[in-house]
Amino acid sequence: MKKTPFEPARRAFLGGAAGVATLGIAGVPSTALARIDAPHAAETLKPTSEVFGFCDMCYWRCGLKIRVRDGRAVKIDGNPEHPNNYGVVCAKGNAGLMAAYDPDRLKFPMLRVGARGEGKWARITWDEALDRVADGLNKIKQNYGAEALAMIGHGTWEKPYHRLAHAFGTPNTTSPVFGLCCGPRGIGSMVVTGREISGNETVDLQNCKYVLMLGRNIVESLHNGEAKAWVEGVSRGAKVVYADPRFTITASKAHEWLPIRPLTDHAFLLALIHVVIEEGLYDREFVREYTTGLEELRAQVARYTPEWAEGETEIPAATVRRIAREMAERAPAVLVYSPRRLTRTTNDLGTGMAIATLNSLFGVWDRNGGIFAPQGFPVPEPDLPAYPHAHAPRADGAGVPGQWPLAHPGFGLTNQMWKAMAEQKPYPIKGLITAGGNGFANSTDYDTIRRALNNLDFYVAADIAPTEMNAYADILLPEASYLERYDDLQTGGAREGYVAIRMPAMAPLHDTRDAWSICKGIADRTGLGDYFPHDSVADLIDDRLKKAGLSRAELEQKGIVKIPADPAKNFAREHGGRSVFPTPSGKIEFIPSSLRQLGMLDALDYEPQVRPDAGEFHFTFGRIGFHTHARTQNNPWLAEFMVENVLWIHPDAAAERGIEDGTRVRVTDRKGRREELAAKVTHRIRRDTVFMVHGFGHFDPRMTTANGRGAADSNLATADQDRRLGTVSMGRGLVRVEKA
Amino acid sequence: MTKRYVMLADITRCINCKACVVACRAEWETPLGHSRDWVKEVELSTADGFPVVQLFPGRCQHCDDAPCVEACPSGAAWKREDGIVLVDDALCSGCELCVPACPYQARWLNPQTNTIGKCTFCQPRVDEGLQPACVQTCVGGALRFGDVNDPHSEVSRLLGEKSWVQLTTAEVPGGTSHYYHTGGAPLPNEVLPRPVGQHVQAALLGNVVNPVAGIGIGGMVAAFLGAGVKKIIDRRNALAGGKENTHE
Amino acid sequence: MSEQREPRMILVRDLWTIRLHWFNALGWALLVASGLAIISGDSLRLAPAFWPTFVQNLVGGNAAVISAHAMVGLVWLLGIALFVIYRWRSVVVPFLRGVLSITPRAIIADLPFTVVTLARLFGLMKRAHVAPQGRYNGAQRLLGTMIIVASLLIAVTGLYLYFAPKLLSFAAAPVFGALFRTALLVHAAAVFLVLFGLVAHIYFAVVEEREALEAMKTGYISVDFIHHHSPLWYEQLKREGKV
Repeated sequence: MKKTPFEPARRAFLGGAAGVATLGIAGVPSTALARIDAPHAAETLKPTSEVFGFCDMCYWRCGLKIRVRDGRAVKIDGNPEHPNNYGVVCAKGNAGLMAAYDPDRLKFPMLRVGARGEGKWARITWDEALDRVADGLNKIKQNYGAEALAMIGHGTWEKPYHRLAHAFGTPNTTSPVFGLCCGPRGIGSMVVTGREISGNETVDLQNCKYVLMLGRNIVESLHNGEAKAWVEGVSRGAKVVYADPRFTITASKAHEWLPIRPLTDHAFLLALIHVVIEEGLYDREFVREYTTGLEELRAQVARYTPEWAEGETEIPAATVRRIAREMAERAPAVLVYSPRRLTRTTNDLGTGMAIATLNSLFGVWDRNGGIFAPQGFPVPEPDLPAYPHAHAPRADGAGVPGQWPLAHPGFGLTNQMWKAMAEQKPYPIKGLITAGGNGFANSTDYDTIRRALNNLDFYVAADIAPTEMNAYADILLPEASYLERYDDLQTGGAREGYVAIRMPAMAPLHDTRDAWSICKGIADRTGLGDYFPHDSVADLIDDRLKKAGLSRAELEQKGIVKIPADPAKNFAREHGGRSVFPTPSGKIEFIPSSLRQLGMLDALDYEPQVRPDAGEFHFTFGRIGFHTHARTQNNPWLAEFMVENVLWIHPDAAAERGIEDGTRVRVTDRKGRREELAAKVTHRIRRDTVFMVHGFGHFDPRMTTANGRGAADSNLATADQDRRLGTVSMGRGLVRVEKA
Repeated sequence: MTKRYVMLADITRCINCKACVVACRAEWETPLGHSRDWVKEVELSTADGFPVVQLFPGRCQHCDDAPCVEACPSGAAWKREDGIVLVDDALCSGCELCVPACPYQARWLNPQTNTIGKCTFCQPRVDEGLQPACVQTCVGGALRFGDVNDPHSEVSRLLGEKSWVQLTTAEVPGGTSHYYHTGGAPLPNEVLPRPVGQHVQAALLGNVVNPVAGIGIGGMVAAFLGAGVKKIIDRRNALAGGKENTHE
Repeated sequence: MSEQREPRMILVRDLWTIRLHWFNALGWALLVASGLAIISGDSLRLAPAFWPTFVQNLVGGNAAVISAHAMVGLVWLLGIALFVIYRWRSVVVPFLRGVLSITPRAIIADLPFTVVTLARLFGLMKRAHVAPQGRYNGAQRLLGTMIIVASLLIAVTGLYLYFAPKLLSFAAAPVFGALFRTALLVHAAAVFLVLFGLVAHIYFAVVEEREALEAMKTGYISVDFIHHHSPLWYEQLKREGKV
């Protein structure tokens, strides 16, 4: 027990003396007399031990240090060594405890006993569950061929499910991250430069002097490392110009908010390119040495004058010119910061290309304050037999000539896969494995998802918690949460290269298993055991680490082993080195040769998007800093801040409809899909636009906190597609709003 | 030299991500429905209708002259020499006399312990040389904590580098241990302290019972002292006169 | 013994009654001293800061003071309760009959004597007529009644103050906390009320009526004293053949 320092004898003596002195006024109540100064017991910190891990509350995957007491994880701290977060953890990360302790979790294997999606289940043993899965998968293979199985991942470390599916012989594995989210920005950058700013944003935000952000709501689509760096850069004086129909928290930190008309970012960017080229504001040396096609580009953007763009974007032409000049003054420590989810229009590829082009004109590659070259940490994969040859092309057409050749087959096009499953084209998809994810909440068409699921002969879902999607499963396999298991290594890099470990902070709370054990169990029962030669995940990582000359014990000391940052590698052109652009020509191609081959050179050209009729609004949705996509609405610690979303609407538009702050409103799109929620009347949004936070409106009664709360943006966003990439276009929704 | 802890909140770096709030909940197992800290999002607009958003991370301000300490009848609310205002759970009866006294609404009855919950600046962590949970996890680096009596501490440096204000008004003028940097913007009404309040029982005790008792008991003592003096005088007179019996 | 020869002193209370009085007095002394040491707030301060500071430092914190106060209070309560049970018929009932002044009529009847008694301390109202009094005069009746009522309130509120936070969930119902705050108010007010009266009680015992103080030590008091102060009691004793 700690006590405040005091000397009893002396105090008592002084007190006694004071007592005598004050006796004369004893009994006279007084507020003027001295504060009682008495000893107190001070609370002490309860002892804990620590294990290391990396977060699974979102896909940024920060390094964690988890405090354990009495065999239970009690607090999640950031691992100060981890480059993804350097010791901080956001609200979602801190609330990760409740992902594990969620009373609604899937606690044991279950067999569907009611109609599909009805939600009636019987508890079964793991052996029975895995036997049934093996049986279901074998039947699919026998009846339709291996390619009739699809695997959609998005869960806790989906890697083993990919391995299982490939071993099974199907090409049809997808991760939503490409088709539903970041695909266009990556491909847009790849076709122009051969490089992309990888998953952990290899941009030197701390030292950037001017950031132009296009709906890049960096502090609410919160990833710790980049938000931390951006705030630091802003506090060091970087100018931020933020274009978004909505005044986000990011906008509130910016110097300038451009309330751009929705879906017109591309026009704004083209006008900037136009000004930069026409006024000679580009980095001449860099452009001469490292790029091709400037003159063709000049010709292609000649018509995209700022005056033309003003008609599309409502950003004054003079502002466009000023921004181009301001950026040129500060180049190369400038960035046009791409949105992360760039699935908005029918030509997101063009937007992504324009961003890469503009950054390249300013010569930001491998320069301080610009885009840097990351380091990796090579850790070999285990030796496995080669996967069998898949006999059919991917059903979603990703990477398939004549379909979506630009789409990344490693990730696939989840939106196109759902469509293929719903329509059973180009061939029947009759089996499905999902690892986490939630098609109802992360895709944009309930009907398609429902049809796809109802077409299945066999569906096995593995997840931590219930979702609307896994309610349709035949077998429901409960996974251990990321606090209860080892997982395969996390390797990656930004300035530093690193390999990090996930250790179990506690034994599984329920009858759950980690993804590797599940996949191995299925593989062993389907004759694919050779693809899972390790007894456990721990064995797997031991094997991999051994090949890399490391050991688990080494990694478990700090949770991470790093290759230190090397400015000569990260910022080569600051240190006499050269930039590398792995395009066919080895240079940045303003007129990409890959697109020329595909006849898609018009991708850079602007495609006008939808406009609302009188009385209609653009429908937009987005993130909030304390919820991850549609995954955390049922987390009680996060629902505390927002258990329901609201519809942002401009005061003028609200007044016309008699809507006040808090009024229940009905939002109806052109297809007649509708959602109801409360209104937030605010100047923080354009008059022609409404907005809601993504991920609410859950309708699975097993989600006791989130069920029936708020409105589902996924039921209103559009399922259109990028014409060249095949990625989804979610931003083209037009809605009417009225009092409910 | 004794330590003197302060919290700095640079609102220009706060992004309302609530990391501090959840970290605090996890660290101290705060029951749902209550929190030791918060982030207040204040939406304003300029004269021409342009939006302004200000974010105020808040918690107990650890007042220099804490009204909660004054209001607490049992001494459970106390202030350490280092400036941290604490609740001694062993002494706290959960009577909530301190709750209306707090100008920052930072005190609440914890239904798990039935004692008053509040921010302690993570005193048990600080005593071990750790940063408060909210500061450690603050994504924007908006929160800083340290010993202002150490001229080399980060907080001392920051206090000198930037302009800082406290959440005080003419009505609630006391100094606090919590500073805010707003980048020069005036403090919005939403975050200003409310006047120190009282439960009716505290008002009756302070305004009626105490003074009445003071006057009453003091009056009685004075009166009977007077009677005693008179008696002594009478007796002396009687001895001098030698006739009257002191006893009637 | 001849009836004519009245004894100079008679026994008016038994040993246990005397012991109870001093037990009560000691209890009060400890409880007031410790109680004033507990109250720590500024706005609720009942004693100057030096006292709680001194006592709390002496014993290592207010928790010890609170425990001690509660223990003494419980012993005090138990002692009085046991006395009430064992001496119910012989002492308590006669005492209550003699001392309680509860109805407005009784209180009004007792007021003039009280006023005159106090006034005479200062040499006033010497000629005022007062009705002859029984064993307990009007002033004593008012004081005694007040102390009995206040003590009951103090005991009940004290029990609530000590046990309610341990036994009830104040968060479950706001009324528990409100009751606590009210109990605190009543507890303090009642103590003050008793202290107010106690000034007179002690003055009379120490200064004015030394014989009464002696009687609270020995149990004996002079018949003269009874005759002089309590003529009605004297008459009663005479009827009962005790004098």
